[in-house]
Amino acid sequence: MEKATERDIDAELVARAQAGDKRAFELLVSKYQRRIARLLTRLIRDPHEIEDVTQEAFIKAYRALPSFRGESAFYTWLYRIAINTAKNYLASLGRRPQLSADYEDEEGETLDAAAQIPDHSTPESELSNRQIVSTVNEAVDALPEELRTAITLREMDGLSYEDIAEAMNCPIGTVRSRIFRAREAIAGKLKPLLDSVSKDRRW
Amino acid sequence: MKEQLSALLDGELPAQDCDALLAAVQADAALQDDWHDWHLVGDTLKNEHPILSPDFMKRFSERLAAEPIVIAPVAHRRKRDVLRRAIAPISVAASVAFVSMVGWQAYRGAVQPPAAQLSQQTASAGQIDKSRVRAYLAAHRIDNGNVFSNPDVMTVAYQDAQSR
Repeated sequence: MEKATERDIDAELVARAQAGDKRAFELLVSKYQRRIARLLTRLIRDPHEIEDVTQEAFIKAYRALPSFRGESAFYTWLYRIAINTAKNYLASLGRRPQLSADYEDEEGETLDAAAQIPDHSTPESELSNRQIVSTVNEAVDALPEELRTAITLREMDGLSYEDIAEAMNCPIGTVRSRIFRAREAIAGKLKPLLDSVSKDRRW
Repeated sequence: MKEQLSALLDGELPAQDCDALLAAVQADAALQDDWHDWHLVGDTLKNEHPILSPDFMKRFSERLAAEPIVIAPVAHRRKRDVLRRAIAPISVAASVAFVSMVGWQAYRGAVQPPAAQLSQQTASAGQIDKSRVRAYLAAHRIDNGNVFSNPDVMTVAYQDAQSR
């Protein structure tokens, strides 16, 4: 049976946003905010500025939505807007992008985020973010083994359900259910923390 | 429903269920929170330490609420592509028919020298054909799916019409 790929899902959300549905666009922002912010750490060092430019990039993307026709993947399109927003921002301050060398290894990959965080988070958000990371890790450690293996193979190794089913010697439906239960358990531990940070609602 | 959403995040949901599920997510705040939190969990597990403030999304939503709603022209939206794809073969068939007709007329003109009156008629018809063919082919060159968008085809048809 044909599966809805990530690109299909993004395209569907874009189509809904293009039809006037802001919530569909927010779902995309919610999904990509961390990747875009991370991308911007290559150009901008100050955490407040990264935050502002990330927000600005998404607003620019929203305004430019009518021009997105799906020739490229949504993330590719978003990536270009974010880079341009950052460059324009730096140009407006008379600054040049300066950091890329510090944060890319020889293959051009950015270094492990753990090495970067002290520079890229404000003290107050860094405290919350550290709590989020430790809560997630503790929640994963506390999972029953078959749930932990399933979610790890999926999220960290990027395996398909079919591959996980083979690795764990169980039906695909079981894999699907285990991954879902793992997410529920981890997010359940995270909820009180996120609720306290965002006061009432996430968005 | 929640388990379906989890499968959707993994690219493991059957394509036919995607629309209904996304519609459900848009209507259900609890599913939206799951979408939000599960993506956060996924990114965190991928060793991506969060950089933004945890309430980034909330502040973004406030800003987005102040933005005028954008609505793309329907022609730009995805559904339209389905229509284009359906029409493409018909447009190819129409091109084949048209070029065959022009070719046949040119061939008939070449092998059967017509009477003077008829000749004049054909010449004026050829005049119209030339510009029409050029305009037609020019217009169809933007369609990548059209086998007659090749400039060589255009040149041949043009010379053919001129050789009369």
